[in-house]
Amino acid sequence: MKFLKFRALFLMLTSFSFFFYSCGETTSTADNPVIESIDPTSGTPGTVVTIKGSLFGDYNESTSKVYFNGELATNIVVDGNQIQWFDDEIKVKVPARATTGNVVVEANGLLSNGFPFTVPTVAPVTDLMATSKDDKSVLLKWTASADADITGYGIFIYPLNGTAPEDPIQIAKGVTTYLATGLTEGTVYNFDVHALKGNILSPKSTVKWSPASRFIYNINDAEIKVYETKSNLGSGLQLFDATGGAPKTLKIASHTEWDLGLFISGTNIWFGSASKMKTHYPTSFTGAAKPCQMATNKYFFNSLEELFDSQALDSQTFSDSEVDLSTLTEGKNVIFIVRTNSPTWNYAKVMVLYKGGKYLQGTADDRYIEVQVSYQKTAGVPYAL
Amino acid sequence: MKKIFALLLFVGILFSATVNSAPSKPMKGYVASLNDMVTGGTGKIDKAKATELAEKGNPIVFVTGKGKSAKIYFVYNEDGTFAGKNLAKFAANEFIGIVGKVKKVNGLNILIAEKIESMD
Repeated sequence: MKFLKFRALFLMLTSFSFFFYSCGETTSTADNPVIESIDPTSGTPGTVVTIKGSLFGDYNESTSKVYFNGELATNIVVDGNQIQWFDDEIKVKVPARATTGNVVVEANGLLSNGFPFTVPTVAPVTDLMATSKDDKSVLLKWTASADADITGYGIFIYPLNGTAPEDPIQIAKGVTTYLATGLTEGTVYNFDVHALKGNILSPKSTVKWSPASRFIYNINDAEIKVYETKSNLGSGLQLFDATGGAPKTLKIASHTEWDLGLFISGTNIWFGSASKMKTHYPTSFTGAAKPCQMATNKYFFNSLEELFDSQALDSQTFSDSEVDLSTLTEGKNVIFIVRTNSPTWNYAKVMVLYKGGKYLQGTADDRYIEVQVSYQKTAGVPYAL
Repeated sequence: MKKIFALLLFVGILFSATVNSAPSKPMKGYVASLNDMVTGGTGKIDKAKATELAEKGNPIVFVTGKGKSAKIYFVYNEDGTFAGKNLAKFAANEFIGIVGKVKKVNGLNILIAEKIESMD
């Protein structure tokens, strides 16, 4: 009997010990920093905020961090030579891109509870769109913020996998376009546009884009012309000839290098994928047609400058196709979105010029269409123009 | 007498057409550096080199045919200026076509170009 009592006591003690040990392992929040108060609880970027609590630890540049709604605050206040980060108190400035949400302290990889903080709001810009001006620049445009009392706009430009710069490019109120220069073709950039009210930023509007080469001349420094079937000159178009560094018009003998082609029959002016041209030139187009697809959508503008996008070109629906230019009645230049070099694809926009009330220029038998091309030389980057 | 005059006129027109031919179809050939051909090369050069040579006044010419049947043409613009700089723009092409008038001046083949286009 005594043995049984001793055994029961032993089991109880063992169970209690296990319970307390388990609590020590699982209640890791015991070591996490804790925010007890914030003063003030609202403010604009640059406002000094005092965070009080516990377990903030000693300041370490790489492991001591404060976030305002996910935005890292890089300006911990320094008083004299003393960084204002103590185990129970932190003084930090609200970061430039802060928005309303929780403040969180991170110390040695452990996160605190979130504490609400309000950043006064500014209505964002809308309809942000981009277009490639050339191989080094991208033109942005947007619709103004609905807030009448904004002071201007701020733009952050950075590579897709890079980090945003600390300070935005400042744009005056009333201006709703910006030409970003000094970019690299083939690199996809984030363009974040904010409306500004003093040092308060609106939520960002973002568009991703990349510069692309624009060609109004062919490899011979002449207008890019694609000739009619009867002509001795080329009825095919290679969007980019790597040797010549520009688009190139090709005769039927070089049909395997065609991306697009022209075929005229009666009043019909067929312009489209090389594979479609193969059906129009059955006896001379004997080789395999190079894969080149056109998007279903086409656009009518007076110039390439006018066509902006907010989505990558690969969001379009592509297929081998052709268009009879004689059926287009809009009376403007027509722009096609094209991709070539399967399977990685180089994206392009091709604009057929509408001159003198028609797409077909010149005199028989050397009639032609004239085109301008925006071409993304880096494969797999669905941004051109 | 009238018949003889008409015959002479016809022969004259025929002769004139033979000497100063104005082909409606382009002559097919390629752009070359005369310097390179003289020193035993094919004359083929890239666009950048051709442009550089033309800028320095070195002759850029038009070559038709191959081997012994090859003919070298000095190409001029219609305004009488030498078309070397214009030809240089076509050096990257495998073939080009020139529409114009052919003349022979002191044994030199001269081509007055109305239009130069790619024939690739």
